[in-house]
Amino acid sequence: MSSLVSRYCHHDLVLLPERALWDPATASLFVADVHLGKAATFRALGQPVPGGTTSENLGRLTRLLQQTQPENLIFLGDLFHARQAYTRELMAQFTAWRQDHASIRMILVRGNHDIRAGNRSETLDLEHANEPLHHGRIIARHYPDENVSTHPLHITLAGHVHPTISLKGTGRQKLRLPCFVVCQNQIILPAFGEFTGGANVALQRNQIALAVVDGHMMKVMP
Amino acid sequence: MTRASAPNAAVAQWFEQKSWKILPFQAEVWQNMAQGRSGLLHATTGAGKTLAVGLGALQALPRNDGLTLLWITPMRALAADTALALSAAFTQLHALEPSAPLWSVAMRTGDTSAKDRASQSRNPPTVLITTPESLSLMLSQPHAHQALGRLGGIVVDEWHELLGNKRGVQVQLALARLSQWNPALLIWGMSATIGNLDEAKRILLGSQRNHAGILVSAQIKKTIVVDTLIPEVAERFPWAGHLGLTMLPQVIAEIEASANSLIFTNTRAQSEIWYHNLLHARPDWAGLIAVHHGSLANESRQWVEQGLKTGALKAVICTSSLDLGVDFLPVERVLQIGSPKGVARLLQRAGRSGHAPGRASRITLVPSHTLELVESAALQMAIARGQVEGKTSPKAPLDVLVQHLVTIGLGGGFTPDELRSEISHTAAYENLSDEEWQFCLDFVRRGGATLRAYPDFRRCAPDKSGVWRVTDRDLAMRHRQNIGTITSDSSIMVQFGPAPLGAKLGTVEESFIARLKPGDRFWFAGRLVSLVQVRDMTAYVRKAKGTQASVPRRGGGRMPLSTTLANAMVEQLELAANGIFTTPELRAAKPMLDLQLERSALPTPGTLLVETLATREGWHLFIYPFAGRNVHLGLASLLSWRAAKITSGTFSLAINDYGFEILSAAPRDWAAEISQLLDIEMPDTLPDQVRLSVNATELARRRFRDIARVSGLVQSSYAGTRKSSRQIQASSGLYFDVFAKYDPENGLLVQAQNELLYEELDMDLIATTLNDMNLKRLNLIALERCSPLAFPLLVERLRETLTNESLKERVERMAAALEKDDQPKAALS
Repeated sequence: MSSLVSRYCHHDLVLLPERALWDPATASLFVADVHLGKAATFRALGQPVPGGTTSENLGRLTRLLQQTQPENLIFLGDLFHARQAYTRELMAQFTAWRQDHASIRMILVRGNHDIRAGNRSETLDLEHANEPLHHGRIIARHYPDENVSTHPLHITLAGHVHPTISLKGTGRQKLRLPCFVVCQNQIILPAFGEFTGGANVALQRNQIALAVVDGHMMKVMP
Repeated sequence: MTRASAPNAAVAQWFEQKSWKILPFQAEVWQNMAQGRSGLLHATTGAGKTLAVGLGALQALPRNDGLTLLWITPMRALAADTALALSAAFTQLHALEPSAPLWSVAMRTGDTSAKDRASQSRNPPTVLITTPESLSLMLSQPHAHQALGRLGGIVVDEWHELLGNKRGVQVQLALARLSQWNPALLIWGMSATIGNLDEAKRILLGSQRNHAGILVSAQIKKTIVVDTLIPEVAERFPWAGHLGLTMLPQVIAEIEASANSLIFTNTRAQSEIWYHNLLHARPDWAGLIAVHHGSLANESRQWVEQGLKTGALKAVICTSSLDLGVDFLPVERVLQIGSPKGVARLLQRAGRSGHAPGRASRITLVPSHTLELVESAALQMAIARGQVEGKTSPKAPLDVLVQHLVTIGLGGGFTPDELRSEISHTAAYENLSDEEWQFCLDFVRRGGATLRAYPDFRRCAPDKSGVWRVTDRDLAMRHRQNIGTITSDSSIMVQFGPAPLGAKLGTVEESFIARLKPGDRFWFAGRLVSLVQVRDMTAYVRKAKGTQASVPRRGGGRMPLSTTLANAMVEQLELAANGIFTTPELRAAKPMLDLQLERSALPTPGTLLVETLATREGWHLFIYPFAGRNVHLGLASLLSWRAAKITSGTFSLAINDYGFEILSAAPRDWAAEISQLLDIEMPDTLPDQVRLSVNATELARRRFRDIARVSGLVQSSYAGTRKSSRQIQASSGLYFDVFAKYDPENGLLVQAQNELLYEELDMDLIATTLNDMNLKRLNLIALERCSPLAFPLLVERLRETLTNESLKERVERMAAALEKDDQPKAALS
């Protein structure tokens, strides 16, 4: 794993190429936009998408939990895709996974999809919070904050946009990669989930992108 | 036979009254129809084919209270003309001879309102004119059998336009269904000249009938003259990006000299640009010239067509939208801007001029770059030799079949065995394998081949009596919305607005609008407009200032050059290589051909020209097989994949109709590798090699876009106004990735690959071409400066990438290269 440790607002944060963020100070792991049950939602509405994405998502989360051994796991919104995502199979899978990691406190900062999907926090043993959630010096949100706090000690983490970035090279080559979008006081995380897609971001002057490449991180300036 | 004899007498009388002569082919069609025979009529537009088939049906078919004749036309715009022509004939006949039945005529297309459709169902007309999509929609209605079961005949107009594509397959499936309901159903198609009319007839009629059908030809021997507007100065570098506007003064002179002209272009964008530039140069022509393409709003299109008929318009700049047309007076002058890409299309467009007996049809080519001068000479040679391309049906496209299963599941349901036997009568599915059929059934029932992989899926399933039906109302609605999108791309309305709401300008492909941002300017319906917003299937625009579109237009037509034409071109180049410049076209192209000879050589039937060049961009390899852009794409993928096997790397590929380029960013000794790249030692493994090579590109992923739409995976993204469908929108790319990862055997993925290999890239032609290339003498030239043939490839911006390197390796090298350029935009941390 080649991660990137950076200092933001006097705060060491680790950007992981697994599309997650680790905060050693509070022993917290952050992931955004998992969209569990998106494939199941599609199937329920008559759109065929093969199964397997949920196991893959949870499997990747498990590996991250083993690596980082966090006390808190914080979802920056859109953990579940829709009401139809709460199938019996998926609930069973998620509950079993939750029990495997019973000692970890899990908080869901509700995103637009979670709000539409409805609250199942009790059955799923998740704490629900509305944005912004203050967690130590971190402000956890789903929607990125357009007027982000410039408090010298506060850093905002957000999701929602599924950011990707396109690169150009010689020989007329092009690549599109998921990325973190970082500016002075805010970090937007890439979507964690399988079958989620992404949208190219146009970087502002004060932003940089940290693209995720095969388990590595790469800095891209505007 | 009293029933048939009354109209017969009336028809003869009516022709006499009009002082028309019954043409031999019309009598032949009538006679065959009266005897219950189906067939294909080979006739050009304006030859009287509508009356041949329309009156043939009137004489042959007994009238019933319901729908008697269905008339399929590939374009909505044609429906109105056909309706007018037929209903005028029926009314006048009835007035003349009251014992002749009075047939009512109605239209049903995407433009028909729900109210009119409902009234048509309650009170069916005798003749209904419709499109392949609307016919499929009718088959998806629960009472389809009742409504269409007593149909006596079906006419498919402009069959040559449908035959080679998936809309034609949709028609084949519908015909099989209708023939099942009425085995005596009369089927008549009409086709312009193509190279394989017998095959076209076989595909139309299917194998359900007990006779092979009749081929009737209305072709009156006609002289066709093809000539060229020779540019005063032919550029030495042929550049495919540019649209031939340097020829504007000469085109203006031609328009001026004739009473009326048609100016054909290959794309909508090209027609808009020419219209705008003509008007700019001749402001006094405002109102006298017009633009016509399939995207225009109905009213403007009708206004243009009317203007052509009355002679009010001096010139119309059009696309293939005017290739077809029923009641269309010939014009004095026909110009073709840029390459027509094939002989058949050129013939059809030429037919727009000089309909009078004994007069030649003439078409004048306006080259948009210098190589098109050579193409023009080649076209003339091919026509003189009578070489015309053929068209054939797609082979077993599963996406269309999946769509059909849901359609029939809605339209009364089906049992698998019966439906299987029904569709096996179509040419498209005559060789459908059991596995493919099972995949389609599984796909609509379970989402995929394995039950386990697609839990909770529901679309179409057998009920207690074993009849497969679709019961979900939302699904039914989404499916019906989707049927129309087989047309290749869903279209969205362009309208002034939203506040104040203004005129509707027409429709444009969704994929075009999807690339635009608000504020982008583009030409549409002869006006420069800028995009305001996209909402509910409508792109709202306002008038834009300035004279420049900000949207990069798509370069040229995407239609590949036909093999017939390409071979003729290489023969022309050989003439030039031997110093024979007898035609005006070759003489005009001489400066360019001379420069090619000076810096390199010319391709000939006996030699294969290969050029190498090193530039700041990297190490280029240019090869010119002259096999059309699709085959070149396949060859470029194959050869670069083989190169990547020698030393791994990443390649950027550019193609055009004449050749292709492989560009490596890393140093490469192409000259040393070329014989290995062209190797044909193991021809058996060639399909596998091409398959592997295209997998290393994004080609299959892109091909999947159409398949995802037709099979109903993706909905048109602006259509989702209902909440329930909003949360199930995913791009076809995302679908492709998730299938590739979790269900790699999925039939639709396999189809994407097969379509790519056998239809788009044409595997058989790739194999033949590679073989031919090996039989030729290799003429390998290390360029010092770019040659005229290489230039358009060198500057082509639309490129494919093929790689066998890891993402990380590629990014590292990109970064390294950027640093060397002293522009550290990207650097590894």
